[in-house]
Amino acid sequence: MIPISLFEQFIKFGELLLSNPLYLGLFIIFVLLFLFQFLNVKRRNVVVQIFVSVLFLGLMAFVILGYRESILTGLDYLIERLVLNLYFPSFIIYMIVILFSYLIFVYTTFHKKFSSIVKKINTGFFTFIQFLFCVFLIIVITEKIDISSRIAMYQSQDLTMVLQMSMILFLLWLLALVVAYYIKLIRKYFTKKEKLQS
Amino acid sequence: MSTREKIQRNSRGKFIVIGSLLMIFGIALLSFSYFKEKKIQAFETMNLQLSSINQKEETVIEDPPDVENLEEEPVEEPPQEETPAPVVIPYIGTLEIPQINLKRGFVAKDSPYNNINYAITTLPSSTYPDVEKGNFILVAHSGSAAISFFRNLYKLAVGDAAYVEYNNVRYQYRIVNIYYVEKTGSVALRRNYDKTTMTLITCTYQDDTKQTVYILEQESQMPL
Repeated sequence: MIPISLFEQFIKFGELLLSNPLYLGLFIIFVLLFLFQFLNVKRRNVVVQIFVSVLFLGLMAFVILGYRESILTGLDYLIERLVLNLYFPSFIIYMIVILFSYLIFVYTTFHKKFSSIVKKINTGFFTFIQFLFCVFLIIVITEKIDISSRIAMYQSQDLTMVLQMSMILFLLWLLALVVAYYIKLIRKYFTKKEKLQS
Repeated sequence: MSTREKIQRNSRGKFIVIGSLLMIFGIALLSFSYFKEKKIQAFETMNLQLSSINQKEETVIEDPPDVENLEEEPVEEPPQEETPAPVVIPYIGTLEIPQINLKRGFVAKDSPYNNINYAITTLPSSTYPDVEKGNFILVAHSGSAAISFFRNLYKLAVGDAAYVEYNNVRYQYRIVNIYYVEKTGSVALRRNYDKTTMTLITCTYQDDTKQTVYILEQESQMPL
């Protein structure tokens, strides 16, 4: 496979559109929907908004019903890879998780709008995940593990255990944050209703 | 707003929160077995990748069966042993049946993980695929549990192909016979002793009283 320029890609894309009337039809429909919505942004016509939304949903339903086998197979494969990366993350995935944990911790610690419960949850999970990260680094250095190869990483049972614990903790942390956010939304909704009524 | 209305609204809020959490819990419960299967698949994928590096050579030389005795041969079911749950199972080979999208590893006969609750089990009386005129016997659960590795075996028919990779050789087999036996603790094997065969045994689909026996004959082998 050789790289091609952006201009050549556009030409090939045009050829692809013209090769099948279905592609051309879909392209025209999407362009029209885009124009409807684009021109309606300032006017804010509710009928147009509903019409465009219904058409988008209809198109998605058509694609899903027509190609549901492929879509289901694709979704199944996606979940398979997600679960594989949850239990056996590559080094890159693990570093992304560590980076995310830093970002979540820093953002929630220094932002005033988060409650003390959320900050305590974040501190607990963040601390433990960072501790596991340090253990991970020590194991990699002492056992001289090649972190560029996923298979080399998982030949060590200790490293496997540390990585799996980190990923499970991170997942639980995200779930806890989602539940806390959801409860906060419900409370906010009912508090707002009370204020309006009183 | 009166105090009573405030109390009512707070209770409603709590009910909605509890109701939503219960709904999420219900969805999680329903999808539990699906994700558990995906988890087992993920472990299987990693086990297969690791075993392709760590594949050990194990050959077992057993006394060849009596060629004259072409009748039934009783096979004992393996004893249940308690072993700790492994992080990675050390496979020595793989069984692949493309017809039912099955690709699973198997461990050595003397491995503590050679247990029907961990992997496709190799029976103690089995030979390995590289033994001439031997019989490679594999057993696993059928049904809907996560450890039911032979759940789709009932879809196979005479003539379907299966492949075994062992000791850097890929063996091709073809099903020549499928029959049913009562569950009595031992299984009668009816095979041609002049051929190298593989036997797959599992519980019969939708029948708790019987087991299905698949006899496959080795057709070819190819180095990997």
